[in-house]
Formats: sequence, structure tokens, C-alpha cells
Amino acid sequence: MSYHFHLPDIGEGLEEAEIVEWLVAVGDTVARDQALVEVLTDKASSELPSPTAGVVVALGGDEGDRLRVGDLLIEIDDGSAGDADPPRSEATAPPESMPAEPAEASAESHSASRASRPKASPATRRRARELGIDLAGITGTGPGGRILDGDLDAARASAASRTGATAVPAAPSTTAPRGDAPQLGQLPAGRHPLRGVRGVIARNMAQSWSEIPHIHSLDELDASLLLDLRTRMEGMGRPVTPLAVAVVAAARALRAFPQVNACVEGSAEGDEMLVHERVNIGLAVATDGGLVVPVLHDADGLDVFSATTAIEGLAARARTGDLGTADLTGGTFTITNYGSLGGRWATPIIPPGQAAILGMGRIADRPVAVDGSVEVRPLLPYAFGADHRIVDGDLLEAFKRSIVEDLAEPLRLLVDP
Amino acid sequence: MTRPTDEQRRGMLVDMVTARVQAQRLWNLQRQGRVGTLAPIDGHEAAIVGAVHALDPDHDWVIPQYREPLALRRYGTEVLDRFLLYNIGHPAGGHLPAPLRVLPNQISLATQLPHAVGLAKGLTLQHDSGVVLVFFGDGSSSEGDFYEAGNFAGVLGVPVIFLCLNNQWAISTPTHLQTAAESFAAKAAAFGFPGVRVDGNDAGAVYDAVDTARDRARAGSGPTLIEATLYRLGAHTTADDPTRYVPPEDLEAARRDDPVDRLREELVALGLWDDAVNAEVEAEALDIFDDAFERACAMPLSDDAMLDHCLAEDTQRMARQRERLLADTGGAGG
Repeated sequence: MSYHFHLPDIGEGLEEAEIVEWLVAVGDTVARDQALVEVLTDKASSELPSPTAGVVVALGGDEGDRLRVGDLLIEIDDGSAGDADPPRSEATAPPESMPAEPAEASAESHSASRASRPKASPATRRRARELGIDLAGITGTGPGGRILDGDLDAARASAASRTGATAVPAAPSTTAPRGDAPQLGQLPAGRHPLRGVRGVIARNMAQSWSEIPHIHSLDELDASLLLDLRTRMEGMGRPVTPLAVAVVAAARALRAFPQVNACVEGSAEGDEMLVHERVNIGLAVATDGGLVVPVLHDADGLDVFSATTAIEGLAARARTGDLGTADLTGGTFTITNYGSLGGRWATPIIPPGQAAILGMGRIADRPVAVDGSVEVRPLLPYAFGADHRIVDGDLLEAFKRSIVEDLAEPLRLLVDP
Repeated sequence: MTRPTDEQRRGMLVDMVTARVQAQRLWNLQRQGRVGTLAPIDGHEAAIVGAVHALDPDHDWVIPQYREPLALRRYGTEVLDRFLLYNIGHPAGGHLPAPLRVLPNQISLATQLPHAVGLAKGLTLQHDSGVVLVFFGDGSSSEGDFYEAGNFAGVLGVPVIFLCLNNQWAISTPTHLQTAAESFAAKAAAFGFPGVRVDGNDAGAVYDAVDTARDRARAGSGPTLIEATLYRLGAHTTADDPTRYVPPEDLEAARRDDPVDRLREELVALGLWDDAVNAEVEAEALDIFDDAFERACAMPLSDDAMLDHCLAEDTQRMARQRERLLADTGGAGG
């Protein structure tokens, strides 16, 4: 007989939830309290544990589906005389009393359906997230290649000893852009719901585009010293990326011009200018699932080294889809690095809740006039966008100049502004 | 200074481990849609257990807020039974029958504090030697009821112990936005009785503070305000996502000072605890919990049960409501 687990109201007055990820598959043996599924409500993402031990008979939806509270979430054959039962083959009939199996052992059976994802328990996944470790780069020593807590410790230890050799993600690049994902732009004809990450992007962009009167200022800067810094720090085993320099420069410009670290908010008395207390810089990252903007909180407390490390951790979690709500909210300014996709010029859209954005293009050697003669220099094309309701051209130019001067001569960051 | 004996500390750890594993199971039940919204206990175990172990369950009263019941095992298994009834929404969960000296959960912040003062005053009028221990949180200290209760308690000199579980967060409000005072204990100065601050992750220290306050109350010297500083290791409630506002580094630091781990390590070092004992205690805690939950679910629920525990006897209006209710539902009275 089967236990029908209906989507519960796990908040206060929830109506629906989205299935983010199934942690079990049909045919799996599950233990009582074993995590079955991760769901996303409008309040939080939660793992729902199994109410019973048994064999999974059916799932109530696919990943990405939204279920209403009360809808069937999962059917588990637990041998009980439960409610009405759909017909099923005798092969799935469990013994009277199902021994509770540890989650570690049973979760292996669904590896086939999720072969691309490294195997690890939810607890290990969470810990990896906390440590900023990308599970994709780890070889598991557990049964069937499962990644154990010990493997995380080993990976951490080896990362600590491997200073300087790490690949730097999402940095303005002089090299060829990254290869396009094979599924990029691939969708069959027909209607497709705007949901999950796509839905969030759609809503945010529509809101920004319709509400914020954008102005943009585009220019190029000589990145010779910036690249020189990167090369020389790399030689010392202390990697520094141009993006990290941009983050630190932007944080200090936002502190110098708080009116840019702000947004327009509607209130009962009409629109207000809200100046943010903290400086939190979002970094637009292209992932297979779409654009995500993880946030470096309190970026004004970072130096170029800690910013490089923090960006690396965020980028790793973004690639594995392990970003939590806290990672994705609270941004007060955004940097988008379309240079990593090969772009030179763009006019980026400001996210809701912010007043400005910095776009960085691909660094490339170009001719420039230096002291009356033409020289070839690596130029970094950039674009600043601002909300003209609260930022006028004079403020935008002053804000821009502060960042651009720091990028052109990163040693300025060692000197108080 | 009264430190608990090794045997008492062992008893405390049994209760703390029990509360911890039962809380996890209760959380799971909530995520399975089988109990309502609740506030996890994680991180508060030492302060609650340490405090009630300094009390005499036959004489002293405990007034919980809403996070404490799983740690009140010292007051008997009936507390768990009633707490689980409460969690499944059964009105009987709001009634803790005599001789239990425990009041039901209180959701309206700080309203239990005036109750405690009134109860303590009642005990003195009845020449009852018991004292009243009342729990509240850092957020509750901003409520008017806190100041009214503290003022009356000081003026009346009643045998009450105010125990503030300062877990650093009032839902998402951190303590520095809660008060500009040096501490929550410092607020006792305004009431004219002692305020003390203890390490709420140290069950023995809380035991000692409550024991001293209890002696004081029994000697007729009046109330004490105790602030137990600790850290909320879980969510505020099942409807809360603390990852949105709790700095991960703060949480990680707090986890390194987990109160259950701390006492366990101390007792392991003394040879009073080991993995086998721990496993046994956890297994028994879950058995007790599962039995209690089964009993709670099997508890009959009459259609008019919601009126059963409002007053000792129905008023005329309640009696009419009860009749109409039963007529509407066609059900039988309880």
C-alpha cells in the first residue's frame, strides 16, 4: 500500500512551491526522514523529509514544476494500509516492515538519471556550499564515487597548498571568449513557461526597463598597469584578477558617492530615494540555467586579494547551482563582465533596487595616441549605466572617474582616496 | 556558588541530547505537513535545561514562551504529550493539568511575564513556598509587558525569576538594534532587583544563577533577572529563512560553541559519557517522542473541543455557543 505525501504548507499561509530538485527517483528505497526533494517557496528553499520508509512509486511533478499546497508530491509504497492505491507491479511490493536504510546507501540507485551531477549527501552538499567548494572538481571516495565529508577536507587542504595556480573565473580576458554551451539557444518550437531563473530574469528586466530611465557613458581605459599587476602578483603566488580590482574600486567609489549606492522606492508619500547602508556588489554570471547575479556582501571590506578569493567562491557555486538566497539578494550595485563572452560594447540594464551598473568589455590590444605617436596598448572598454532619476551626468562622471582611475593605476587602491 | 554535581550534569545532558534529537524529528514532522509552525530549540538547550534542573518540579512553576517545552523533560513526560497535542492543533495542548506546574506555550510576546508575576503573588498569598521561573527572549524585552511585569515584581517583591534567553536575534532583528542598553540584565536596575548575565551555553552556570535566584526568592528577598547569552543555531521558526540575514561566519563561530557538544565533551572527559550512551539516549528520546506523537494523533477530538479549556466552567454564552456549534456540525460533545 502507499503513502501519498501531499505538498504541505511549510510556511505560514503558503499556496504553492516550486520543485527545485528531486533527491530521489522512482524505484528508490527511502528511509523515514530521508530528504526527498528540495522545494522553493516564496519564503525559502527547503528540503522535505520522507514521512515514511518505503519505495518511491511516483513523483508528483518534474523539477521546475510548481505545485499547489495539497497536490500530490510523492507516492511511497510503505506497506501500510494507506489510502486508495493505483495499480502497480508486484515487483515493487515491499515487505511488511521496511527496514530503515541510511540515506547514503539508498540514494545511489538514482545515479543513472542524474549522472551529470556529482554524488553527495545533502549535508555534504551544504557543507561544500559553505566552504565554497565545487563538487564537480572532486573525486569521491565513498561507495559508487560518492563524495564524503572527508573528501571535502582533502580538497580544501590541497586547494590551500596550491596557491596561485588556480584558474581565475569571469575575469576580463585578453584571450578568446569561453566556448558556447552546446544547448545555448536550443529550444523546440512551441510555448515554454517563463519559470525558475528564466522567470526571475524576465520579471526583473521588464521592471528595470519600464521603470528606470537609463543613461550610459562608454569609454576605454589603458589596462597596461592592471594586466601588469595581475602578471606580477601571479608570479608571487597571490592571484589578483582585474574583476576583483574593479570590485574594490567600485566599492570605494560607492562609499565616496553614496547617492549612487541607492535606489528609488515608491512609498505612501510618493517616490523616495533610498540610500543603502551596506555596499554589496552583484556580479552578473552566465550559467547554463541563465543569468545569475551572486552578491559580494560588504564589498567595501575587501581588498584585491580577498575579493579575488570571494569571486572565485561565488563563481564556483554559481556554476554548480549551489547559490543560496543570501548569495543572490541584497545587491546595491552590479558589475557585468560581458568581456568574458567576447563583447566590447554594451549598454547594460540596471537591476531593480540599484542606481548604477558597470559593464566591462574584453581587453584587447588597440592603437592609442601616446605623447603624439601611435602606440599599441591593451584597452579595457567599459560602460557605466545610471538611473537618471537620481544620478545626473556630473555625478555619473565623477563616480566613473574614481573607478576608472583606480583601474588604470591599481596602486591608487593602496592610497586613501 | 552552587555547581551541579556530576550526576546532575549527566541528567542535564540526557535532557539536552533528548531535546536536540526530538527537535529534529519535530522539524521533520513540520516539513511533512503533520504539525504546525514551530520554533526550533537548537542552541537554547543548556540555558533551559540548566535552569529547570535548579527547580523543584513539585513546588516551582515554569512558564515557557514557545521554544522551551522539549527541554522541560524534568517536569515529566506529560509536558511532551501536551506540547505535541498543541503542535497538531489539538486544543487539549493548551491545558497542562494539575499537578503539573507548567503553563502552556505563549505566542503573544511577553504576555507571559505579567502572568508570572501574578502567579508568584498568588503563591505568596497561599503560603506556597514555590517560585516561578519565566522564560522570554531578547525581543520580548522591548514589549511594554516586560516593563510592567518587572515593575510590579520589584514593588511586590514576589518570588519570580525572569530568565531572558538572549539568542542574539528577534526573528531577524539583531540585539544591537533591539536595545542601546549595555545588556538585557542591566534593565533590572530600573526595577530595583538584581540582574545577572550568564553564559547560556554553560548549563552549570545557568543552574548556578537560577539556584541563587531561587534561594533569594524563597528567602522573601524578591525577583531576579537573569540574562543567558547564547546563539540561535536554527531558524526563528519553520516559516523563517535565516540564511537571508544571519552572517554565516557568526553562525559558524556559534556552532563551534554548541552547548550540547560542550557539556558532552566535558562529561566524556570525566568518563561519564561515551558514544554508546549517547546513541542509547538518542534512541530512547526518539522512541519516547514517537510514542507521544502517536498518542497525540490518536487523541479524540470533539467538534466543540475548542471551547474546552477556555474557562474552568462554561459561561452561559459559551454554553449557547457550544450548543449551536454541535448543532451545526452534527457532532457529539466532548
